[in-house]
Amino acid sequence: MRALFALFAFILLFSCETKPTPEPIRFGKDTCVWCRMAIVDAGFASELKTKKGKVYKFDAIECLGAFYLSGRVPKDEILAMWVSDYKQKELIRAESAHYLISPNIKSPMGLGIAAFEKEEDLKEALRIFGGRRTDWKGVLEYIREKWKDQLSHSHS
Amino acid sequence: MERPTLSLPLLSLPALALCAEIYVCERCEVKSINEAIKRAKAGDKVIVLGGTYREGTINVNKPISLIGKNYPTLDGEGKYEVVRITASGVLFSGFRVVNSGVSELEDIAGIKVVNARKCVIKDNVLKNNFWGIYLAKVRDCVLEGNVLEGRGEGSEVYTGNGIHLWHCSNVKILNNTIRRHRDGIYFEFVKKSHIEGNLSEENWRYGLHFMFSHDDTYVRNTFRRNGAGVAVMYTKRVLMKENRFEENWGGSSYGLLLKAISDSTIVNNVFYKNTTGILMDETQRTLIKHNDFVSNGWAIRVWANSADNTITENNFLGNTFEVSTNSKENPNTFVMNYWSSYRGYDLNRDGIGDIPHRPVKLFSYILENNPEAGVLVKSFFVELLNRIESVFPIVIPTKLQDPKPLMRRVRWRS
Repeated sequence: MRALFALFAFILLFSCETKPTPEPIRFGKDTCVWCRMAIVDAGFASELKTKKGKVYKFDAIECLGAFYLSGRVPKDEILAMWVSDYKQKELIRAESAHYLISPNIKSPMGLGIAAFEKEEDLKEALRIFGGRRTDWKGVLEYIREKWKDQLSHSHS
Repeated sequence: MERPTLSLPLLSLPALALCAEIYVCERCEVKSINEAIKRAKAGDKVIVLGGTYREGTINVNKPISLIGKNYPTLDGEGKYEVVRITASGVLFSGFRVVNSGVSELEDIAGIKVVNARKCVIKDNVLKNNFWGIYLAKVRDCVLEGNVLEGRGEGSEVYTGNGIHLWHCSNVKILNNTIRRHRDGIYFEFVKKSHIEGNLSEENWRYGLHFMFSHDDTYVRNTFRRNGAGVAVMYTKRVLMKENRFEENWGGSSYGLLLKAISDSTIVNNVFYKNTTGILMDETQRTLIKHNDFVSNGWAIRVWANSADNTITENNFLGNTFEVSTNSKENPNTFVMNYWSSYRGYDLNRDGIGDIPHRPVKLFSYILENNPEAGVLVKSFFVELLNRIESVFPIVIPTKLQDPKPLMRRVRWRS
């Protein structure tokens, strides 16, 4: 029993230490890897970190999504991805966030995608902007559809 | 009015009968601007005398003129959108608009115009607003002679754009001054619009920023000390003429960033003391002619994904690097430019150097492909590389050259 507990504690400790944390975004200084724009809006900034520790920063969720879809970093080399919580202005994990897609959300690259950690924040935004809610998979589908051309030629 | 004629009284009589003037001031019968708007009929003038008005949002929802005398202050108290115009044919002029609200979710502006046509917003002073003048789904408007100052240091996350246009067409932006906003002027889905005579400086990101905005022109503007210069992105057919791009220093800063743009014209501009004068990324069929590139880190950086551009009759004067590229191929035309670093001769005296000029230095090529090499700038090693290159040009890594370098500066300025 004690051995089991020790093992459990060890796993817990281990998992704590390897919990991926995003590198802070230096607003106004860092630029988006995908679209080259200076990152200024804490409502949309996104980040991808590889297992080797290389960090890619983005000014918009659509740019992170497009980068992910382009395969420039193979999927098995990705450690974690983060998107900004539109309301809280903090980086949250991309896969578990709730998303709102609306033409009234002024995301930097015009696709109108915003992310929320809390259900109630998303609902508040939905009341203001309208649109449809989706998950990370839905966001990727949407970007793939909207940016067919961009994803097929440039950025190999 | 300038030339009174006999017919004038006859013409203006019906106008006098129809258009009323409503005065607003502390001692007037009408003390509130919103109350005056409520009383006004289409075509009326609401004249507001000096003083400070705290009325939440001033809702201009009918075609009237709002005229401030002695710059009355409209104060949003950090809570409200200060002026909201939702009717066509509104004139708004002569006000100080200050302290708009700030929001995590919404773009609150000093002056917002929504779904309207033919507005004139003229000679106002805007200070400490989240967004400055914000036009959404607007056509045929004029923004002229306004002065905008953003929220300043420390509040960057909550600083919006100075003049922001979204889904607009045929708008004129003339002789405004914009400071300390996010982007000085921002165009998103804006067509057939004209930007002239503005000063955009010390904005946090770009002095001017185009996204998905076609068939626009910007002429005779000055963009100075903005975080990252001017960016024209995902856009077609833009005319950029007689502008000054100055002192945009910083690691990822440009005078002018061209990203995914085509069929545009860049003429008679001056690029002075920028980290990079022009950066061309995915730029096609664009003409760069009669510009001066003076004392920039790089005059032009052109990425290999840019093709069929013509760079001709420009002056390259005292730049650290003249041209830089990341490819051995050169799908663009550089011809008949003046390069201050050209060391050739002109034996037949036709004004054109007898040997081609190669503006890409070996080290700038290395730097373009390995940004980390920047630490070596101005080191002995780099000096050696460039010397070797000038003696044995065979090591120059790119086909990029000007086959007809000019011996004298191009006199394009009148």
